[in-house]
Amino acid sequence: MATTKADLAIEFLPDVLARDGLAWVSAASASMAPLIQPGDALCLAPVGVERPGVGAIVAYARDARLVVHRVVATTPGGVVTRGDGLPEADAPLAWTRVVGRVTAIRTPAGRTLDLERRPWTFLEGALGRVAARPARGRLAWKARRLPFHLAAALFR
Amino acid sequence: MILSRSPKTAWRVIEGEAVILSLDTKAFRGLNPVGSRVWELIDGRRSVDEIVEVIVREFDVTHEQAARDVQAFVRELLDKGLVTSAG
Repeated sequence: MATTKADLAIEFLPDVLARDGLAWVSAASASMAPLIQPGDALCLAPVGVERPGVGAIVAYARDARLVVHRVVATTPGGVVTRGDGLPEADAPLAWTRVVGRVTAIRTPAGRTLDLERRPWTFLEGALGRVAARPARGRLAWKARRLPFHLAAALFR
Repeated sequence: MILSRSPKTAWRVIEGEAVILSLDTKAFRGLNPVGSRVWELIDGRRSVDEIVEVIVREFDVTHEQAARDVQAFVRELLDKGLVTSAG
């Protein structure tokens, strides 16, 4: 069987979330930098009846990898996500593919950001609206990144 | 003896072989094709003897060998809490 342990962890993540109500996963890429850095632990919770809105950070499986990106738009059938550190949005995603929602971030130094408490509940929406805006040109890109660096400075 | 899969497990058949996750320990257990078939047959209705009969029919194995292997496998599953005895 060529399946790796990481593949299996993604495969069974919905079962763990359904049973335990949460699961911790490790961030492996810088696509959500500067707020989420590689090595951070991310607490996932199941997506409930109240689906995550713009600004929420959600996890979904793509090519046997777990992708954790921010919701920048919702559609009747799903969401559009984008990494805070990426210039382009991801392809639209059906709700059924969303595995969970990030509720907390813990840095390797032990700092924990609870995304379900103020001011983050408010900031998430604001960051989502910024992430949804296209940034054409180097200056616009830098300007768009500024709120994310401020948020990271507040937390990290 | 009739066995049931523990509700504290999740499982999938991946590339033809069963993989079991213990939701308590978060430990994975991959099964070979015979073990996968035994796992599928553990349904809370069939007895271990009936499972042995199915294995003898479906695999190239003697009744004695199948009975020994299935018993050992079932003991291991019981020890790990992956199945429960239903009577």
